[in-house]
Amino acid sequence: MPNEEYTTLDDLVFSHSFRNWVLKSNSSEAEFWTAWAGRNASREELVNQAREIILALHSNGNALSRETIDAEVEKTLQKLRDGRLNMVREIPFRPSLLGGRVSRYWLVAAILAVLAILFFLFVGKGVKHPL
Amino acid sequence: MSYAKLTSAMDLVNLLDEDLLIWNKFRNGSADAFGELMRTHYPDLFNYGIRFTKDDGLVKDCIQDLFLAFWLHRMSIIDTEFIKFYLLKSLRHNLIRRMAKSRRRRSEPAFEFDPARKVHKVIAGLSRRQQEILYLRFHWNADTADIADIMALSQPYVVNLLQDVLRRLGKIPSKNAKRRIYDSRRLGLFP
Repeated sequence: MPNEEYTTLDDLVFSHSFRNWVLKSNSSEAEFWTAWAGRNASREELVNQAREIILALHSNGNALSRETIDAEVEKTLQKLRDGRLNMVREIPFRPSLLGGRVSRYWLVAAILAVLAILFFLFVGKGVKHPL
Repeated sequence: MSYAKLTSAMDLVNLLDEDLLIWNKFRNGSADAFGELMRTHYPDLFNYGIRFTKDDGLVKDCIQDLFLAFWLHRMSIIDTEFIKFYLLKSLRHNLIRRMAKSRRRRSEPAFEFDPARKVHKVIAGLSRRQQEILYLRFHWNADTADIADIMALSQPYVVNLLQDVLRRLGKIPSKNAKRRIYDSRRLGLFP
């Protein structure tokens, strides 16, 4: 269920619930938004602007028919059955570490930090000071 | 059901349960589950891919390659939470690589927010990169970390671009203000 905190344009534009209500006025959230708008009459302009942006961004896209999708899936399954997997030129699917949530720069920095610590622990110990 | 067409939180919960079941069967080598997974993600992947090129055959080839590689590497995929973004990222990478190969040069991908129709001039005035960020944020509900990962950009850079996009969208003129207020009142929005 949507919460009450909608104070900026992006709160509304990127809210699935608000978008559903704008595009389908009979959506299950309609009651919530009608009541919310009643309580937030000062945000009328914000709501209108968000509506306009959503209508501008909304698109049904390049919808493919069910038959086309089924045909493409069947073609792929046929390749699987025939064992024609060598036709996959290279691995386009390369999941990143930790689901891609950690930047590669942070990973490199972390590895360098560990190496530096190991260096000082093991190599630095061997250095004899004159005093 | 497509991720882009979820209507409520309950839909999302059901979808995730359904996805998890299919996912586990897929990992155990079920070709039926593989087909189901492909059917689920195909429309959204195609809609994303076709924004880079008008060659729908190339987009379909890339999606097929992607799923075959997905099958080959199904045991090494870490978890299910980010599948849709893995797929988007891999499709984008593969598509751009194939397009660059045919052009024999590497350039910024020519992303179009919606090639199927004339879009608002504010959207058309955004850079290709901004249009792609907006598309991923709006249609895929991707957060800035996901977008940065898919487009191989830094997150602060994505945040800056998105803020600029929102600033520009905020300038969409209210030329139909009277009609909009009328619509709002008709819908019972404002007294």
